[in-house]
Amino acid sequence: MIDYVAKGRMLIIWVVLVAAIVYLGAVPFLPVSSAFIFYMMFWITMASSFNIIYGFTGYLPFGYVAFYGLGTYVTAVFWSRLGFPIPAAILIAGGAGVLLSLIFAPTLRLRGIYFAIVNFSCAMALRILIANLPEKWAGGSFGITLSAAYKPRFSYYCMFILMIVTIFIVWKLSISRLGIALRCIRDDYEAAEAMGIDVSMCRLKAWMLAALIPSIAGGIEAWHTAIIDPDTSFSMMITTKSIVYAMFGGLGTITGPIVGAVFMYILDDLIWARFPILNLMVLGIFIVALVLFFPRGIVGSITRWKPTLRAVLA
Amino acid sequence: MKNLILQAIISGILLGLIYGLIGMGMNIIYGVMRVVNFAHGEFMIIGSYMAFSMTRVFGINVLESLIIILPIFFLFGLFIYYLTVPRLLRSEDPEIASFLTFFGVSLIITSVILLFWGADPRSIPFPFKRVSFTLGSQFIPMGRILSGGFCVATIVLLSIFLFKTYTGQAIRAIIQNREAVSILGIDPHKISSIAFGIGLFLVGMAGVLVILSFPAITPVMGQSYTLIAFIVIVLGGLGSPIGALLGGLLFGLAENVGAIFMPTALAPVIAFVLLIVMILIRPQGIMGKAIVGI
Repeated sequence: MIDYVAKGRMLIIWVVLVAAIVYLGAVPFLPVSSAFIFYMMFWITMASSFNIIYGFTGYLPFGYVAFYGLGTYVTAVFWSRLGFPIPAAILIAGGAGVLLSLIFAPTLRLRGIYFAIVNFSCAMALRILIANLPEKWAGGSFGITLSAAYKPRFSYYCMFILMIVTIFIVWKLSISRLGIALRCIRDDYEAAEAMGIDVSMCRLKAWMLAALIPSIAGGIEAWHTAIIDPDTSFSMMITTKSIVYAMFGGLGTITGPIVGAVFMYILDDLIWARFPILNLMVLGIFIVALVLFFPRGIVGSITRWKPTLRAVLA
Repeated sequence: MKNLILQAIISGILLGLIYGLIGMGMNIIYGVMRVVNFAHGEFMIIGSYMAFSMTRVFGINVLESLIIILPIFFLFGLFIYYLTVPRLLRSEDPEIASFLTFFGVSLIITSVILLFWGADPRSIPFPFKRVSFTLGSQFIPMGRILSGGFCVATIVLLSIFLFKTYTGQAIRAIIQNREAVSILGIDPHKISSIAFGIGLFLVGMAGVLVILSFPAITPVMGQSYTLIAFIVIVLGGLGSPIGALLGGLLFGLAENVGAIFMPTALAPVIAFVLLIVMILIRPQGIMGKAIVGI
């Protein structure tokens, strides 16, 4: 017997997916603010890749902004100082992010709060180092402008592609051996080791992946805004929002960070436009309320309430 | 050069005492309930801002404002405790959950500061006539001597409290073994709430005293103090109040002596290097016995 309910659900998912992709692909030609949609895709990408490291492996990289910030700087420096074309510079930024993740890799043997604190300090140290590089290399505290390379439509499509690739990676990961191994490590480290999972290799792969994506996203975002400086490139808000958006949707699920990023980004934007100071307060209240009352987020709570929806949502 | 290093050692110790005070507050909270207070620095600067307003409104000096600020901080600590901690202790991973919760609290406090005091830096004029003190060939700023003296007095009183009184001994017992304490008939909630109050008491004190050394306050300073608190407690050992004091002194010395040999803007990097080296070679810190989370 054919399960019509399940089939119908899959059909709805595909229709929504195709409609979303067509809409997002057409945005630059529509009379909507493409910067708004650009940032929405940026946050979906950031929250989803944050989900790879925190949601799947349980490591809380509180200095997540380091990869993004490095991405913006590498892109800007390679384009403006060394004359590389922007797309090449962005790819180099991705490579630099992976390199940075390898430099940080020894910290992966720390767990829990130690890892979070050390990662946070690494990001702060990187920011200070970059801000103090000679001005002719990295622009000092004034940063670098990329206005000559400004092509919003191109950067929009780059972000579009990156977002789709990121979601695809998360989806592939969640059904792959690696994804299952990562969740085992998160839930019970010793048991995973005893099962024969190569713990350090698995989490290193997840770590590199979670570094690659924000570095590239940083490069594309630098191209889109056409100006970078140490304060915005290493703003704590990048880490904050990635965490809140991913948590709000539901960590460890595929759709969670997407739903969370879309919803919270729109909310954030509405509040920011009207009450700039309250924005910070609302973010804070959301974090406290989420951790205390809904640690599983929207999608996590829904799948708990209706487990049959898990196949569709998670 | 010798003179310069001597000067750096003196100011390193005097500032290190304040850092120690910040770290002790955080470590009592962490040790007793495994709550990572990411809002520590924000609590601290709200203390600075309260002192600022009191000097303006009541015309009292900074040290006198302590009499009003410290009880408020203690009660505020009890309030925050009952609002969040019992729930956090029941969550799957209390450390990370509390880390995120108090990160949210830190954002709320920052926005409250922005609402009440605005984003401009505020400064408090130095309240005493004598600005510095001469010791041999060294000039020592009076503010640092005063704050150093207050820190030493607080630390002595705190040690007496922790080692000689019933409540203090209960706090130390709970740091050593939380489960065993409830078997002994001590109410862990009551003791934990007092510990949280003391943690905030200490950080409020640090917030007021730091004004004597660095009179300018801005709303974004909280985060750097939180980071200092983290570094201090990791250096000293998570959960050990005395370790935090040693960590604070080590940090103060490293920061001030290091500043002689490198550009001032790069000096904070020394602290991070110290932190990372410590975590990689001796993750339990100077005084830490139990290796938590490793």
